[in-house]
Amino acid sequence: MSEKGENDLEALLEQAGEEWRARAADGRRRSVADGVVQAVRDSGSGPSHAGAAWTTARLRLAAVFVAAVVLVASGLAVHWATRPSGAIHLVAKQGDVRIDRGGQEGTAIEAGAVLDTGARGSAIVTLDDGRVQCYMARNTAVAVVSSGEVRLDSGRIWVNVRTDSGRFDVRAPGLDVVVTGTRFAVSVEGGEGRVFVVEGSVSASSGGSGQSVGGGSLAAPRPGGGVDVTIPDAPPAWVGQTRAEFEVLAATRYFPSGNLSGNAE
Amino acid sequence: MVYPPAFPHGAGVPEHADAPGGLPPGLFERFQGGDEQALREVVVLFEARLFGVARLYARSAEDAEEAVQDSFLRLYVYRARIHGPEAVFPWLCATVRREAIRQSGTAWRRHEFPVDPADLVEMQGGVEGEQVRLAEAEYRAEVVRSGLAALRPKEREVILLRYFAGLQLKEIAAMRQIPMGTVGVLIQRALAKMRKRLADRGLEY
Repeated sequence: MSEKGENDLEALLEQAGEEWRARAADGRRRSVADGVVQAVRDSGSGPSHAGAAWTTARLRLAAVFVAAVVLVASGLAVHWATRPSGAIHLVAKQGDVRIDRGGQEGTAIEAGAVLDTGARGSAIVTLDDGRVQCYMARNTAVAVVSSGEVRLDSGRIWVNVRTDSGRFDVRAPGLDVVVTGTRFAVSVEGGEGRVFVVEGSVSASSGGSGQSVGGGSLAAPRPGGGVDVTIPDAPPAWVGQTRAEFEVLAATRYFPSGNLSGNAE
Repeated sequence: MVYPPAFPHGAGVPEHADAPGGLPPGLFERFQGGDEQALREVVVLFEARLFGVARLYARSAEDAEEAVQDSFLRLYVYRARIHGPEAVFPWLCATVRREAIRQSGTAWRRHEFPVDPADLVEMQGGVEGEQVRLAEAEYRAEVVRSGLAALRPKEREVILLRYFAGLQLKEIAAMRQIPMGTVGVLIQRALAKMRKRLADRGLEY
């Protein structure tokens, strides 16, 4: 490429730029000097006060923003703090059900109560003012730690957690399950917990190491920590059995309308 | 390399071009002190050049004018943060660019200039009875359009700022907060790309 050629391109750009500036200047209606000075006057009692007025407006905006953040944070904190305070009820039972405190069907259960179903017993406990339904199959022992947490010591449970519920925890031997709005079953077999998620997802952990478990997945503790997640071709037999038992007991003793979906209420 | 004068049209050309930032002695101090007349003088001094920068980024002349006015208002509000007279115009350029982009919205999110600069070049040539001038302007517009199409957004921007808005290298560097050497490299690379694109079309430059 010749030097002359390079200069030609720049000369052409310079000429085009000059024409462009002239054309662009044609679009200007007037000087903005008066508008700027007037805007400065309008923003305060005079030019020297415009900065203060502007700063004040920004400070007000910042204050509103901070207040909004505090409100939201407070709401979340209150929601979290009050999460376990909902009532716990034994809403249905059948056969042999032992409970160390309270225990009549349809009555409240104190936090910390331990429920134990015998060989022919089963029960439904609602927590968090009914937002969580927990079915206990036969030969199942559950400690209701709070309205937001149960501990499964043995047996099988079926759990519906409504989407408007707060965090709900299920602790089983070697396995911790954290949920917000889902349906799942947990059982203890061979001294170890396992969870099968039907809808939504849960967070399952063991030994401090956990992961999310989605619908249709089965999670069990891994030796040495963590969980193994598999996706079986079909739900394990104990899951279907537990769910069916829950629906039968609920339909006959608790939900006459037939509304068995925890999330549909 | 010889660059064109920053703004050859008279209006807006700093009277004290050799003074720091192009501001007459004492004007910056009066402006920082909140003097209304100083504010007016600063606006008159820079508004034409600033309008040229804004017009590159704004959808219309009206949007550009509004961006220019907002930029001067912000300059006044934040005048205490301006370190010296030489920082005034680059600060205004950076602000007017941001304001115009904010107004033009989606076009810039697609890394496009809302106005094709070649269109304005072409329109300028349309003086009745001057057919030769019109033809030359149309030719230049076509060359500019073809060449700019070969450039990446950042290269296109420095070419337009340099040759169309008429900014100096140091002003582009201060406005975009990149080293002046980088601006020079970008311009040279862009010119080389434009030449190659034009050569592909049989135009030797």
